[in-house]
Amino acid sequence: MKDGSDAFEGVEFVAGDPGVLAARPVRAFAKGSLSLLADVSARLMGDDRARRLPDVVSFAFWCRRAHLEALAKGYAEAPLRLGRGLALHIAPSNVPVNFAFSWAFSHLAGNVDVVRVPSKAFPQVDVICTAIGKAMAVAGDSRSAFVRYPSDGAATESLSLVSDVRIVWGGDATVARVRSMPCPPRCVDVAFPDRYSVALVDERAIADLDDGGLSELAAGFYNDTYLMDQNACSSPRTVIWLGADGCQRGRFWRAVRRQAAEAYDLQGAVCTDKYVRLCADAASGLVSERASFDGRLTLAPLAEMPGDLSDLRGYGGYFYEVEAGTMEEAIGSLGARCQTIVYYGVDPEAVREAVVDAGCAGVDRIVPVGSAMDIGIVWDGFDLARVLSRVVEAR
Amino acid sequence: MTFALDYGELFEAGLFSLAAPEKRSLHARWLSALNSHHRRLCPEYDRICAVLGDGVPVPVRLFKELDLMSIEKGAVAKTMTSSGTSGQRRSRIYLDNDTSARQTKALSRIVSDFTGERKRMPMLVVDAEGTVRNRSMFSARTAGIRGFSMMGRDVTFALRDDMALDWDSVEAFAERHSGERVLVFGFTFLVWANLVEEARSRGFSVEMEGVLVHGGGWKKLADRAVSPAEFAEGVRGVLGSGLRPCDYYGMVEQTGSICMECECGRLHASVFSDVEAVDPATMLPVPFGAEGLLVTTSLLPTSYPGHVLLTEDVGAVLGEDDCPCGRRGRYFEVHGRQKGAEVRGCSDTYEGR
Repeated sequence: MKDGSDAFEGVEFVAGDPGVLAARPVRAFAKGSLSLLADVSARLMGDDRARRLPDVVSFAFWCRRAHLEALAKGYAEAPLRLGRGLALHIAPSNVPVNFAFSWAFSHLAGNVDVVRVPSKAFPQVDVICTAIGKAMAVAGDSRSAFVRYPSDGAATESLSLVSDVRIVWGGDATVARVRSMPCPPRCVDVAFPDRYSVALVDERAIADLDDGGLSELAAGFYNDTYLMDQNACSSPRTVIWLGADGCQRGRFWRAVRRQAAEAYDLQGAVCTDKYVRLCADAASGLVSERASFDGRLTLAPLAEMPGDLSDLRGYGGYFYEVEAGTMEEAIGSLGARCQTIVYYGVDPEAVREAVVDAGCAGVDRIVPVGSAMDIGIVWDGFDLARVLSRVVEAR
Repeated sequence: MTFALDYGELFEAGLFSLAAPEKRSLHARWLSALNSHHRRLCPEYDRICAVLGDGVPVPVRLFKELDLMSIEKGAVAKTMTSSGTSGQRRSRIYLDNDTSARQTKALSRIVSDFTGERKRMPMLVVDAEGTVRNRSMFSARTAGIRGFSMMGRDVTFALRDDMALDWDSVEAFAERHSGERVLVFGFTFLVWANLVEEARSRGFSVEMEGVLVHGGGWKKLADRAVSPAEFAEGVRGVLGSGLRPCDYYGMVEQTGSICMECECGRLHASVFSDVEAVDPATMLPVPFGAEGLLVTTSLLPTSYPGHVLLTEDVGAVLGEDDCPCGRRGRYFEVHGRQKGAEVRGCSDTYEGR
């Protein structure tokens, strides 16, 4: 029995209670886990407030029963797997629903979960935690708790002492700080540090698009980038053009710009930041003279393909672009920090082969334009249902 | 033939007497010469112009990220740094002797125009002597005090080194210069919190006559809901009804060519400077009266490419050549700092500080 009596000092419970520390892990993809998530989904789908929040809707859609059952089919060995124990989740402060996915993955893996939710008062957090709290009460489930405490609170440290898994989302500094806190010897850390993403687009494929197809592509790209201020790990920062003929990309950018003009809430300070970045990039010789400032969509063509694209971090609609002669050249510039390649007009299997053949240190995800933000149980190269559970072998 | 940067000409021009077309042509000529000067001597600036266009405004923040200079390192006579909040990088502005002397001279010209005095005035500084004693640090406050002190005599400090009010010193200063016009100088917030409010609560007052020049922004006072009218009333109540408060807008990145508040409450650009409000999405000017990000021009700096700057302040150009105070050129108001960006994204968690 774990002694966690002091672990919750200074902590506010948004859902669940301190009794969570007495709960036991269960089998991966246990019936009860699926049912609880499905109930949460149904509750959110039936909640007017939730239905007005697109990110809550996508979470609810993800954990609907049909999807969970389909997902479970990919884990035929699940009955032989057991949750690792107590999982402590540190979620990012400025992505409202990330905590819910983190919890859902771990809950499916069979863990007992303590989830620290964003301290910012996002309506999403409130809506989701209310639904989970009700579903838990109905099911008599006490395997999860959702907590809030200030960033300088000691709870991460005290909870670490009794955790079997720590799931840390956020910047490198957060990951390093949590890692430095003592934990039991068998504790497993799953860290999601700073990453960046790129888009890989074959310019010839754009030539084949009619206006409708082009605006559909632009809408997908808008969702991949502007929707999260182009500041999520999965948002492309650089577009690498293959099959460059130079004529089609203007069409593409004009279409993206139209989307941004229609839908993006452009803040003055974001424009200023982009202007400062463009000046700095010009001063250092990074961008070519074809670059020009536009507060809505700033294009920064690179003077040449850099050895590593990791440090190119525009945000809020600041796109670097560069041509690559071959797939190999494109992939050669992606370091360990590269998470997602968002593609268009390119065969994803061919990209995967090139990444694997090159022994690339990064690139965990290759997804079509429009899907960059679709979080899944396989994330950052981890199959979380497996990483967060253990095999109980008998022979 | 290239136009030489003959500052003699500029200093002979009237401070506030050029009408818009004359000033525009003078500035066009000077800015073109300054652009080519800085492009020739500062490679970073040259590359910025190559990408964004000749003479585009340099964001003040760039002076925090890069060492921008148009002189050999050995010619740097002094380095100005911005006050910057803790944890932020400070701007570094490199001055040679020529730029520095020119800035001092311009400052004195501009201030005289508003005080109405050609000769040095008795000066009370609303700050501590310790702020200027530190030679290694040239913060905005230090620079401001030093710059203005050169125009004063019997420079007296109103605050002790712990920033507490030294009323004896203020009273003695007022007595020594009773019947004379004096120059009081300080940062707006210090004048209010450390002098006016403090003296008021203790029931102190003196009678002085002259001008109170203050700057540094209203943000902290606006937070305390103090209006300019209330500020003026407080100042007069404590320091005397003959003391006219005069706000100014200036920055370490363009020392010297400050814009001062006239009798009608408007900030004026002199012959050395100009101001434009731009839309941050396009960097193009907005109409008079509309709020925009302020772009300021100063013809003074030759040691660093700071002749056209994109500030982080928002404000509005109110008009040109027709202020009832009689000064020509543009007049404007500053509304405060541009609101910081609120950005989504996953690389910042609330574990962070």
